[in-house]
Amino acid sequence: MKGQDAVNDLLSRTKAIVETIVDGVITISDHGLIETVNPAVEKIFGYRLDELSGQNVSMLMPNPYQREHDSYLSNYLSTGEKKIIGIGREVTGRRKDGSTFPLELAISEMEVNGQRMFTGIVRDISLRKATEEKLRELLTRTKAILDTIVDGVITISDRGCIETVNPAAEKIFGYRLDELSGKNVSMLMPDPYRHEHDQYLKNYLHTGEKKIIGIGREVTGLRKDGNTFPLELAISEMEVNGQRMFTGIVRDISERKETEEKLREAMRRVHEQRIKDEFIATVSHELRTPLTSIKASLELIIGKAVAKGSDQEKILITIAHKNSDRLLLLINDILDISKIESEKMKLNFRRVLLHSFLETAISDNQAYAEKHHVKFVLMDCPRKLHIYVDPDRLMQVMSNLMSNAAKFSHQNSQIEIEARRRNDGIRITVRDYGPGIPLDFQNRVFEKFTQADTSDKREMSGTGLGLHISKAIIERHHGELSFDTVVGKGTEFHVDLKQQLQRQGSPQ
Amino acid sequence: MTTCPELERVLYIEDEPDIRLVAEIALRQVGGLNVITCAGGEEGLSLIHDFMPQLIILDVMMPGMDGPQILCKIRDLPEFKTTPVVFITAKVQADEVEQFKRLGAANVISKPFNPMTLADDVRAIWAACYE
Repeated sequence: MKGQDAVNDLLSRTKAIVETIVDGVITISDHGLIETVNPAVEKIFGYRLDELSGQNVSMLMPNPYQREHDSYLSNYLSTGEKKIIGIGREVTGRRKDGSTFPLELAISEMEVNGQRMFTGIVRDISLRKATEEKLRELLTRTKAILDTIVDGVITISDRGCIETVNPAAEKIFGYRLDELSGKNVSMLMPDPYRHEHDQYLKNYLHTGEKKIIGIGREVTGLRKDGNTFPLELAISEMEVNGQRMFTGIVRDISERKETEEKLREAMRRVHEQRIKDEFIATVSHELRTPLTSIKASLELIIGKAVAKGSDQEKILITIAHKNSDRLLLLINDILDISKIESEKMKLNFRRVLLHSFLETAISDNQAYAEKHHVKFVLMDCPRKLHIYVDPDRLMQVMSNLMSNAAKFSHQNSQIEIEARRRNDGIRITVRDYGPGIPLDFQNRVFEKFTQADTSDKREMSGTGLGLHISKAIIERHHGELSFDTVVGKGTEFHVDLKQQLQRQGSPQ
Repeated sequence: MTTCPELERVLYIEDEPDIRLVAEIALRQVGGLNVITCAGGEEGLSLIHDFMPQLIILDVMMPGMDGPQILCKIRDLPEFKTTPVVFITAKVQADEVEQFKRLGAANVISKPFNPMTLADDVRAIWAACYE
């Protein structure tokens, strides 16, 4: 009686367990017919107990497994070859409503009353599978991000060993993954940082004192080829499976630094140029102010506005006056040079009738002709041609060329000015019959502060800057200033202006 | 066209004493004008009503009030709304002349000026105002 009680007790316990566990428990006969199922089976497959009892268990499987099951079972019984029994695997289940789902199946064999039977334990793993799928997708996505971002991502252990490296990090440092894996991350730093790193990491783990972590800063990186480069580094800390780890995000900022440097340099140059411009403008003003008093005083004396002096006094006054003139020319030329060099020379282009412009050039520069006893003559010139130029600046060039020609001409000779169409443009020529430009001076004609020696020394008043300025002015007109010279015969200076021809409206 | 009256009274404001002196000689002795020179805007404005200049010459760069500022003060005075004002400057460039004219200057004379022709130059500007 007592034994029966114990058996009953065990039975009811077992029943309670079987009826409450979430896994489905099915027993089948060796013919594959369902003998018992627990409530979990009803819930998992959606059938009621009475719909399952005595049915072939293959009803709980979708095709093709359904068909295969019977032959599988008989095969096992005759050969003993196991495919699932005692192993457990993932199979597909079929619910009453026809839907299929992943399930984990474990089968055990037993003998009850000499009858071979099988117990199947089934677990619906759709939820787990879905979670796994999501996780896999997330992993794929994360990996894709890590593989494609331009920033390098490196994870290291709390001992500084490299654990993972993304392709960008490989590219930045020039190492392959296998060359980095497991190595101390300090290999990516130049000295002295390399040696400090271990100490720094240890110190952080001990004291929690952060220097970079969570802050981000600019550091120096070391590539495989030994070159160093500026990089921006951000480090975050994380815990993976109870293990402290660090993720470093590195960005190669060499290019950005270079751009920044260029920008700074450009700004510095602009600033320097502005200071220079202001200085030159001020100097020019400061020089002209005393010169105004000097020149005016001398001119008042020479102009006999004030008391007369001796002849010798007059000569000295004339020298002083001539040199104050020369000083003024020099100041003006230096101002022009500084404008040319700082590219501040503004041109005011206007439409000008070429013929009358050259006539004006001759009358405006008559003083030079008189001083050197030469004659300016206007030769060929199209009568109705307009040019588009800055007339003030072009007149400055004409004065320079004509005064040079006068200075280097023999007395009583003539200096010819002409204009001709040439190719797409117009060529203005100033021709003298002087001694020509010496061969050894020819390649320095347009340089600053150059003057050929005049043999008779009767005139030394140039600044040596005129032709340099003239050439720059013509170049600002997109034209060209050149010369032809024959020693002993004379010199021609040519101003070539391109595409500046404009025809006057049709003449009546 | 208005008939051009004779120019007689000229006020010249200039901070440089040497330039003041040569300009005075140039305008008075060479040019025969009745000229008063003074060193700055305040002095000039203090005597402008007594002197009643027909034309005013202003240096551009001066400590304190500069030329353009003095021009503004002069234009605030009802009697001098249209009085010709000439700037005289050592810092003259082609585009600056236009700028000074926009400020209301009749014209600009550059330094160094020619003292023998200064009065004639001023008279020419004066005459141009009546053209």
